[in-house]
Amino acid sequence: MAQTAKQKRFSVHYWLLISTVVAAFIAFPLLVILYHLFYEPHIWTTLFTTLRTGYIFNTFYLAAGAIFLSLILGVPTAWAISNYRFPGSRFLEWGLILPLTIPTYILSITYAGIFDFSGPIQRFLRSTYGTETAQNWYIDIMTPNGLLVLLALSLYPYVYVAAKTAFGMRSASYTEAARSLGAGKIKTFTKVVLPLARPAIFGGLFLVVMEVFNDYGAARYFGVPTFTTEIFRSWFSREDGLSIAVKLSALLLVVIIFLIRAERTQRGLAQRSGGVRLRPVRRTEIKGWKGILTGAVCSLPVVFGFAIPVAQLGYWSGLTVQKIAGHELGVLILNSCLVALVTSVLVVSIAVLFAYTRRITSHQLGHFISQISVIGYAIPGAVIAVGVLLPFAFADRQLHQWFGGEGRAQLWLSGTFGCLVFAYIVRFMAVGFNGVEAGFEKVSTRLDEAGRSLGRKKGSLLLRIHFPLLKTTLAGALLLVFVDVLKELPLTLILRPFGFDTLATRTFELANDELIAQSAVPALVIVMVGIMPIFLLHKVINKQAWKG
Amino acid sequence: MEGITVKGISKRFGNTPVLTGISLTAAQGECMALLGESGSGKTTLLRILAGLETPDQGTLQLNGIALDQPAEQRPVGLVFQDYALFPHLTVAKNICFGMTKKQDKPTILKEMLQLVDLEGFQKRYPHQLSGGQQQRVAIARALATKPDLLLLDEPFSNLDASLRKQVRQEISAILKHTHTTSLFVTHDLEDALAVADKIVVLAHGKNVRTASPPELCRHPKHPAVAALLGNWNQLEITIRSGKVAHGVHLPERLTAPLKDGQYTALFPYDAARPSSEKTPLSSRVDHSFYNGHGFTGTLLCQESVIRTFSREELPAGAEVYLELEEKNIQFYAHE
Repeated sequence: MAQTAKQKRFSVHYWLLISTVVAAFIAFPLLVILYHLFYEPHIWTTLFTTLRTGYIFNTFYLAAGAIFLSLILGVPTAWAISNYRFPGSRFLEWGLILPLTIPTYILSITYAGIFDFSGPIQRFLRSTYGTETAQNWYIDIMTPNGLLVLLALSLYPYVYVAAKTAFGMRSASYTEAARSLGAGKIKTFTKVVLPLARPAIFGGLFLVVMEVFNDYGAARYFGVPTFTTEIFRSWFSREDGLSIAVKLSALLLVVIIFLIRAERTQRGLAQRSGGVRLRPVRRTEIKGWKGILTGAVCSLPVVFGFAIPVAQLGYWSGLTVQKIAGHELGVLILNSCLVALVTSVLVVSIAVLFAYTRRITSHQLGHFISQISVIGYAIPGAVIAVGVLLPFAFADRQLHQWFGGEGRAQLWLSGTFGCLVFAYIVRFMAVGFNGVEAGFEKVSTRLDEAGRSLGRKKGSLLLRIHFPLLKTTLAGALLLVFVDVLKELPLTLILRPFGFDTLATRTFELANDELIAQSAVPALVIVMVGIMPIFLLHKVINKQAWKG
Repeated sequence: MEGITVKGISKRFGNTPVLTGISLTAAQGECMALLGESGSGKTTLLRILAGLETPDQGTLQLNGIALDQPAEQRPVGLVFQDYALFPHLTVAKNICFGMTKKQDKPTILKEMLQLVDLEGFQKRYPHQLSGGQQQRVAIARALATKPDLLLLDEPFSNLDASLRKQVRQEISAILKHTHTTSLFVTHDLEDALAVADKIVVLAHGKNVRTASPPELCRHPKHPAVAALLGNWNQLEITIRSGKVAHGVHLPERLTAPLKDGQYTALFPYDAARPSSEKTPLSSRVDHSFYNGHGFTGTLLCQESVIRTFSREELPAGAEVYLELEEKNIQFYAHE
């Protein structure tokens, strides 16, 4: 008896052991940065005495502004879509997510081009009203406020999706109960609907803020210093750059850990449910000019956040495609796809490892591992890059000494493809893990037990039961990670091997060299690939709705 | 010994005892029902037998050999309440899932399909089958590994009433035909009576009664069993020197042999009949309803409730004298 019990425990431990080792690797870069909070304290003095502080104000100003604007863009549209039918509402239901496919730096570059002296607005004004009027009407959008609007325009879908899900999932019973107790429409909304949806909306806002922190390309292009651009600047321009960059990263990480705690608390609140059965809300039809007006207002975010920039990118691509098409574009696409494919396969494999370990063990460690693995998504790419580079550079120095080298250390590990992929895994683990785990949760544990009672071991169950059942889920997770890697900019800029260009880095470089029109081609490829998961997701959701 | 032997099994979840010292035996080929209300621990016992839970104490033996391997190595088949058929596999692949390489798959598959009367369905998927058919696939899948013991978790609970009777007969026939030792969990007395050779009643994690179906119905002997049977009166009484000190005053002829202590007197509704003559047990009708054959009356007798059957209507508030059929009264001693 003792023998077999030991064996059984061993097989579970085996999974747990591997998961723990992998999770330790993934957590390591963040631990390195946290360690640097207390390491070399004199750098803090340098940091506070010599560096500009405007970037701190800018960062929080942008975050606060983006919260405010994405609430305005996301919540009312979500409310309209989940409660009413009007012309265009079927398209808008998923169309309102489309701006998410344009990375903030591409949106910013595009709008900078549109408002530029040589852009379509100024050209139109000049040809119609003359040069002087055109100059009077010139709008400089490359300011903090301009950046703010563009950030909100590309990030509001996080709030929209969260709010729409919350509004849609809420049972009609709650609102009907409130109405029957004499609460009017407005009171019902403010006292019942909004408080119920608040944790979800908070979750959406959390993602918005994280993306604002993460953004490098847009802020850099607009010349607005932020935490992230400051990490880059100190790194590349100062002697003690890396130390400063680590300290800045550590500061930002502390802020983010606070935000994560707050978000978790809110999510905890969301689980208080009164045990009321879910009864979907019936959508009322808005007819006539009111309906058309609603449709028009709700489509504004899509027009400005997607249609106009994509049209502009398409126009520029038409002009410049010959210059960039062919060999260069092929290499860019190949590089991007290669790195994205390798990353997404690894991320999904690790996600399966973690999710399955958690499924077969009740050990606290399993839960802990899954918590650690998802934290990377909240950490800006630049911070992760710093956290990854430090240990890799350290290892390089050690290797260099080992082989008795002199002078500057060789780059054995840092600046390699492996280093880049590792950093992507740290950053995008959550994207893969959340999807995979949700898929596992849908498979009844009865099936595992049935398989075991029929004589199959855990590894065999994974291959014969879970993989076939989770095929679609795994493919979906793969695609989401793939697209995220394709769009990623700051981390790639820091960690890519020398001379290794991706669609994202090339877009940014071309735009920085004032070759905006040429940057449109790789940018458009990123956007087009990014549309795929949204389109597929929409199909899946519709299929489920049809089934249910 | 051939068959299954369970000795002194105990299991706690945290601080809650779920099973306490459960012992039972079923002979080779016997079909045993574990009967109990939800929360009685019957499903936990089943999962311990399947190896999906480990007991804190106690031993299991199957055909004389200790049963302590991990679930995947036990010669035990399990049929889940929700069947747990693999949705991505056909009927044939589900049935063959647990077979080893040594087994002759085509022959056994054919045999199993014949046994559960599903020939021609092998290429269907679970969602293309009715509930009863899915269950038969689940049974075939468990039997295909030729287990020494078959466990069934609430095998009839997902079926509607009309199908239930038919499925009871079918399962009974399959079990008899394969001569497999089997144990099934149910909360429904009728299921247990219709299928099992032997019934074990569990209450609050304890084995309170093991008996054949007729024996169980005639002599419940335990309040929990009487509650499951329904139509049994339960009177709480305290005995001091052979007399009722507290509770309904039952005749001394019955109570004289009893030691001092707390007892529950158990007797069927029809063992307390309204009498036309005056008896020592006078009661007042609280309410009554027509049950299809006669009337079921709820009477208040010395502050206790006694239910009875009567041909005549029992108007609320009326005084009724009760005559007790003494040979049908059983006493359960509380510890």
